[in-house]
Amino acid sequence: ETARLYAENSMGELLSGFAMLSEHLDALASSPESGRSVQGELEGISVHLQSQDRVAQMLHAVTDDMQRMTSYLNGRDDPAARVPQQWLHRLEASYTMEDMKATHHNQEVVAPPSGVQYF
Amino acid sequence: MSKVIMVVDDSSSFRTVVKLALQKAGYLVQEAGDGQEAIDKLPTVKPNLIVCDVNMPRLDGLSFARHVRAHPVHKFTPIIMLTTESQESKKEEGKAAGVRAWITKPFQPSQLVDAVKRLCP
Repeated sequence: ETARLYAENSMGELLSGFAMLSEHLDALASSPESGRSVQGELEGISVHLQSQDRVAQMLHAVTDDMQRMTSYLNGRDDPAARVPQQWLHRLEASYTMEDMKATHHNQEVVAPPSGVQYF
Repeated sequence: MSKVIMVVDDSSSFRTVVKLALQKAGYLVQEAGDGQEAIDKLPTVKPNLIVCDVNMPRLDGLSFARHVRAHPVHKFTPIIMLTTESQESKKEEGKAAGVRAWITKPFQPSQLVDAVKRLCP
C-alpha cells in the first residue's frame, strides 16, 4: 500500500511536469515541424503512462489474490482454497483484460484491438 | 462557449492524461473519481459528453451509464467508455447500457479527441 501510494504520488508529480511542458511547448510552437514532432513525443508518453495503468491493474488483481491466500493461511475460512480449480476460476473472474485471460490459460497473448468502436 | 467534458476514472493520474488531451483540444474538463461521485456532480457540471472507465469502486462505469440513460436531463448525453476492458461481452454490455463509443487502453490522445468531436460536434 505504501509503495502504491508512493507510485501514485510520483505519477502525479510527473504529470504536473508533463502539463507544464505541454503548455510551454504550445507557446514555443514557432516551427510547425518541430511542433508536430514534439506532439508525437507527448502522445507517446501518454501511451506509456496508460500502459503503466494496465500493469497496475494486473498487479492489483494478483496482489488481491495473494492477500486472499494470506488471509486463508492466517485462519480465515475460504471454501475456494480447498478446491484449486475454484480458486483459479475466481482469480480469472477478476481479470479485466483479454491478455490476462490468455496468459492464465497459457495461450498466445493477442494485442487488444486499438481504435474507437462506435455503437 | 467551450463544451464541457466530464472524465470519470478512479486513477487520478489517468484523469490528468485525459484532461490534458481534451483541454488542448479546447474543451473544459471536470473530473470525478468514480460513478457515484459523477452522479453527485451531474447537476452542477452539466456535461456535454462523458468519458468514463468501467472498473471503479462504489459505482462502476456501466452502472453509471445506465443511470445517465435513465436520467430525465442527461439521458441523451453521449458516453465514451475509455477502459482496459477489451472483451466483446463487456462491449455488448456497454452498448446495451447506452454507451456510444468504446476505446480500449492504451489509446492515442488524438483518437479520443476525434471521438469526442464526432459525438459532440
